[in-house]
Amino acid sequence: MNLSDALPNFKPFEHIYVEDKVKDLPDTKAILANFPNAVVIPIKHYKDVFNRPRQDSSAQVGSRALILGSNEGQRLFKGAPVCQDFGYDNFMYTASVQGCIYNCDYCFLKGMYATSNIAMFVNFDDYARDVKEECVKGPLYLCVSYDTDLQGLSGIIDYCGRWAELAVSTPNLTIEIRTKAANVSFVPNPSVIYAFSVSPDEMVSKFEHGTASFNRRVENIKSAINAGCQVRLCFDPMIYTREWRIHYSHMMDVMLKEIDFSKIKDVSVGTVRISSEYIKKFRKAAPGSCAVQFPFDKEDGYCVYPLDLRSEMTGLICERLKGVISDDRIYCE
Amino acid sequence: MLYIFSALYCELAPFVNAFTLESIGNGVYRSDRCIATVTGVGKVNAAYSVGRTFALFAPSSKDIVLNIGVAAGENEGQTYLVNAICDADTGHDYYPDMAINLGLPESPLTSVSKVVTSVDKNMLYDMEASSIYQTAIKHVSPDRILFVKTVSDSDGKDVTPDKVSCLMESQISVVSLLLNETQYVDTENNASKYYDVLHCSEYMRLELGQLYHFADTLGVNPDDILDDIISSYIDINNRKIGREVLDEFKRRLTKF
Ligand code: SF4
Repeated sequence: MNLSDALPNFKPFEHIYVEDKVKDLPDTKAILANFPNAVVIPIKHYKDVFNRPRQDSSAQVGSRALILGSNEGQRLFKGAPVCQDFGYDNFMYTASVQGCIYNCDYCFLKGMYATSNIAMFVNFDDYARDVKEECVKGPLYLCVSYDTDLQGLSGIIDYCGRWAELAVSTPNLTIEIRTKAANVSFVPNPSVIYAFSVSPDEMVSKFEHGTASFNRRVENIKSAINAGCQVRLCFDPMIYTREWRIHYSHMMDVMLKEIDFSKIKDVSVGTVRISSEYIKKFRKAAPGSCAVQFPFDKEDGYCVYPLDLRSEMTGLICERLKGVISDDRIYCE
Repeated sequence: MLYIFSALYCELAPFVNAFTLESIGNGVYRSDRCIATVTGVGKVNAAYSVGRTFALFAPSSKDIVLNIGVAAGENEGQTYLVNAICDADTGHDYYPDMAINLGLPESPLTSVSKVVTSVDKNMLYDMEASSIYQTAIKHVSPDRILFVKTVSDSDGKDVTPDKVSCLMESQISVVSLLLNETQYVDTENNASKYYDVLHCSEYMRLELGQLYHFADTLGVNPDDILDDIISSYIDINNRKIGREVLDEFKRRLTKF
């Protein structure tokens, strides 16, 4: 909710906060060149803006600011147990950007960050160095679009392209670029996995604000397959609505007709799960959204659908996938 | 509610007159949509006055706080929306969210403890903003705290009350715009009519309220479902049966 419908609000990225120490870096200049009319506000440290107390992240959505800084802290993190590790032992994620241009009601970022502003770290070389060091120890599976949708930001800076280049040139490194973006660019290479979140249009328009339509996602998936990319499909998170069966069934009709599943690397299927610690925050941020207002069960610190509903929902997808993709390539929650 | 804070009465006077704010004593003026306070000059006075005003009127998180007044700077007569505040004494920086677009040019501002006799380019100077931000942020989010400053001088000289009031006249439209804030209406808790029917405990009330709201978000009429369940019972004369009704309500809502 913006501050007020009666008041004129600033638009996204009309304000860009820039840490003093990165202001002269080439990436900073390149990013700023995309926003010739933005007001640039110098800051000492990105956290001075990103981590301010008492921010109202829902009020910021319509006028979100960009924060350019350098991440001098930890840059690689072990994957959370709730994430599917797709069989990789060393499963990590990294966040060269924190915050997303989209606004999904169920997005875990709402719990993690106090803001809807986006922090973009322009010390990419430090990230690359950390990753290379980790890869010396053995194979690494790295989610690079974890605290954001990097493809959605490629008009501002092409970090997806850089991560893909790094994956191609670094032994032991496999990266996953997950997206709901409309415009996606591809690097066909076995070390780069493009993970497309797939949702019916009814769910996209109700719960995944600003993301690509279902049809657009299908087109992107087809383009990635045709380009020879590694493609993962994520029917995750499935969301319960009154007509969920109809919508997901129709989605699968289209997917099975349009997509050659023999060319799909693997599929993940799951339902909504939200940290119990933050459920109040989610409900406050999206009071009209049944995606977060559901009377969840609590399991291991997460709000989840009751087991029978979860099985029924994931079962609908898995049933339709029978015969088109082998069971060992389906990761079901 | 719009909370206005200005250091001097001459800064506030044009708004008191334009919006017929009524004095309630101690430098506080009010109407049904606005509370305006003369804080006095300096950070200590400002912190005290903002704290006292908020203690008296208990602002909600949906209210707007506006610090409006004059500042030292280069372009006399120009009004700015402040996008960054530095406290000159502590070196701490504060950033109000740039959410409401008042159509004004923007500037950073430094809050100082003494009147400045010279100014830097692209900087404003006042004596209250940093402490107003620090006090206000305890009550409202940073998208609801605005600082609007009109340049009165660059050297602390020739600033008369009449000149200040005259400069502030031009900001009546800004205040008028903010007074148009959306009135937030708390939705009535319609589930409450079932509290007694179901002999609800506190916990059951919360659960019922949540389920009732969830039904709304699903686009189903909670009353239809609840009334249907209740009509299948001859008598709901204790909490145990009330609990059964609640469980059935949940079951139906999660079984589409
Ligand atoms: S696209 Fe992903 S990161 Fe962005 S808001 Fe949606 S769930 Fe969150």
